[in-house]
Amino acid sequence: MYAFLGVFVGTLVGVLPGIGPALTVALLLPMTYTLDASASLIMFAGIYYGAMYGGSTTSILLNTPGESGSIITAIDGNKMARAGRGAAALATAAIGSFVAGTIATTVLAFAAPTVAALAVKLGPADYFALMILAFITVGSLLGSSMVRGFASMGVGLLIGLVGVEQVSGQTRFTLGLPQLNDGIEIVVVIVGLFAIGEVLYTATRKGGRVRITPIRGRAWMTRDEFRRSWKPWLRGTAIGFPFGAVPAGGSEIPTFISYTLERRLSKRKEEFGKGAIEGVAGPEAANNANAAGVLVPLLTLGIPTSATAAVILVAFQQYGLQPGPQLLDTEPDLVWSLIASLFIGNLLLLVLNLPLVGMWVRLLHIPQPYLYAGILTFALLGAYTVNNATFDIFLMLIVGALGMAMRWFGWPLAPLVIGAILGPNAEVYLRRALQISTGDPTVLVESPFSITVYVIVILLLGVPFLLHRWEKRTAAAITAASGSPEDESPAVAQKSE
Amino acid sequence: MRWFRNRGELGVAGLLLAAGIYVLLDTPTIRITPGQLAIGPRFFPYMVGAFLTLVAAGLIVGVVRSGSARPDTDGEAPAERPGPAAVRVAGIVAVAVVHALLLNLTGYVIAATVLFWGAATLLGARRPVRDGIIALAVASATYALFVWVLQVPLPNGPFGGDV
Repeated sequence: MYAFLGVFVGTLVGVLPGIGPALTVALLLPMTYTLDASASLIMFAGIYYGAMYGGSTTSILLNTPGESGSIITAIDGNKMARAGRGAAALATAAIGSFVAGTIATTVLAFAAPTVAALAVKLGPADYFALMILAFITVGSLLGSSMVRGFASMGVGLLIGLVGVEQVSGQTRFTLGLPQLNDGIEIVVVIVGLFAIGEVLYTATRKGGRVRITPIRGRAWMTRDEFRRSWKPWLRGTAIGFPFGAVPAGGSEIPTFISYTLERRLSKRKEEFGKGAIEGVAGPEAANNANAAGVLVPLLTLGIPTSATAAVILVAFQQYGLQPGPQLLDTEPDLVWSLIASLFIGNLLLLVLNLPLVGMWVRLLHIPQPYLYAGILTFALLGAYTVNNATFDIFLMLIVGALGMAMRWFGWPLAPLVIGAILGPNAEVYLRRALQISTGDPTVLVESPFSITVYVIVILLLGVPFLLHRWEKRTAAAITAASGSPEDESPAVAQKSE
Repeated sequence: MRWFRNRGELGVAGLLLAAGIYVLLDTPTIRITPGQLAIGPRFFPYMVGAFLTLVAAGLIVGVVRSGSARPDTDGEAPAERPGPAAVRVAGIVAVAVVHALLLNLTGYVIAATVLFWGAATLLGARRPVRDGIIALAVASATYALFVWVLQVPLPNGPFGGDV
């Protein structure tokens, strides 16, 4: 029941342009405050998947992807829509997401206990190494430049510093304001950054009608399209899942790889860029598998690898649950019911969305002023309900202004969130590790695990350059294939998923 | 002047630099409790402060040298929104502040109506009466949803909480 509600609401909000999955989950967080833990987690599962699907709907019909994972879908998906095959595009996205989600969730179900068992053996130094890995990857792989990614993360770390310090109990950086003693609520940060930032950013643009491509007929595919889709689905899943599970951050890479792969494998290369269904099927499956993969480190290690995962982590913490290896032992029912609800949510997504596509499309017709005013209202409401205090509203506005500036200058938003959440954790692990070793810093590189991780970190610092150049070359090839330059390329919004 | 046009990012980078320096300067005021074997509450702040300062410096250097990337403005239809961008942004923030202040005075429904109406108008909504009605509807529906269905408390206004 809650799964249904979650999926429904998730898709609803996810469809709205400008709202990515991270924001959707964050906005809907207040709705779950009064529910008990399992009910709200089930709802979250539904919201999570629903939001992803809503995002792909937006990118296919509007050519404005709501999250980085849908950017690639928009390339061929929108072309298909314009050619009148929008229904098929949506269908392949939905079914592909379903297939990917089911497979990925199954792998998750099997992988989680194994990883958790391994994770228990890790010491604080190892966790710290993992966090450094997460920091480096998130900071360097997202966004247009590494410097800005790290800048964003730096702000997040700073935000994480505010509040009562764990060991000695004194307050740091609270500027004398007692309301800051508990630190800055991460939900306020996320909603302020994404929602308010988006609203303010939109306010700086000139506005105007967004072009929505109408769909003809019910969302279904011909047999031929089906046949062309199913292998990309599987390949996309295989690509997407590992990327989600690794703290590499971002869903652009796996969807990009999937698209490139499909293009290379296809016998109809010329169609890519003009509406090849494989170009939608593969990336969409990759996107969904990626989403499920993200849950692996989240549930087993307590490390979020995407902004959306960070929000879910916060949701857990609201109930006093700390995801990590102990979670499987202490609350196995919860974890399994979450996984079960992922399956259910996935199924519901398929059942629900194919027939309801028409309704989602109508949502897109809401005029922008009302839409964004509504987002603003809802977001501020979320801020208020965190602590029943208006102070948080002001805080959110400040964060929102920062978010707007970041969007304007192309700073990635996800590193900030990850920095704010993982920063305090990293500090705890670091101090714990050093305390155990009574101040000996070599403990950080003692265990084979941490050594491996640090080696990976060093390697990773070099990878972005290569990836970036490779990405540019392929992107140039794609735009060359998609025809005349007057064609709008997908409005690449600086969103995080 | 044009040199500055593309380098507005310097403002934010400057703020970042200031933040980093502030952290570095403020950290020494954190008391170290005696008996701490290893690193104390100052260590991490120092690192973060140093990190911030370095990154900000790097960013400043980069922006000074080559300017910022501008956000892409593809497919923009002619202006449908009144006034220059800065006014709109300031306006929305102002409306939100008013909303926050009104919350405890007039209760949620009225405060939210004001918020919605103000924001929508600033974003381009053109029919005040219709917008006002929609605003009221949205505010009321939200209130109903949260207070009655979800049992999340919201401030009540002069119309009382026993509605």
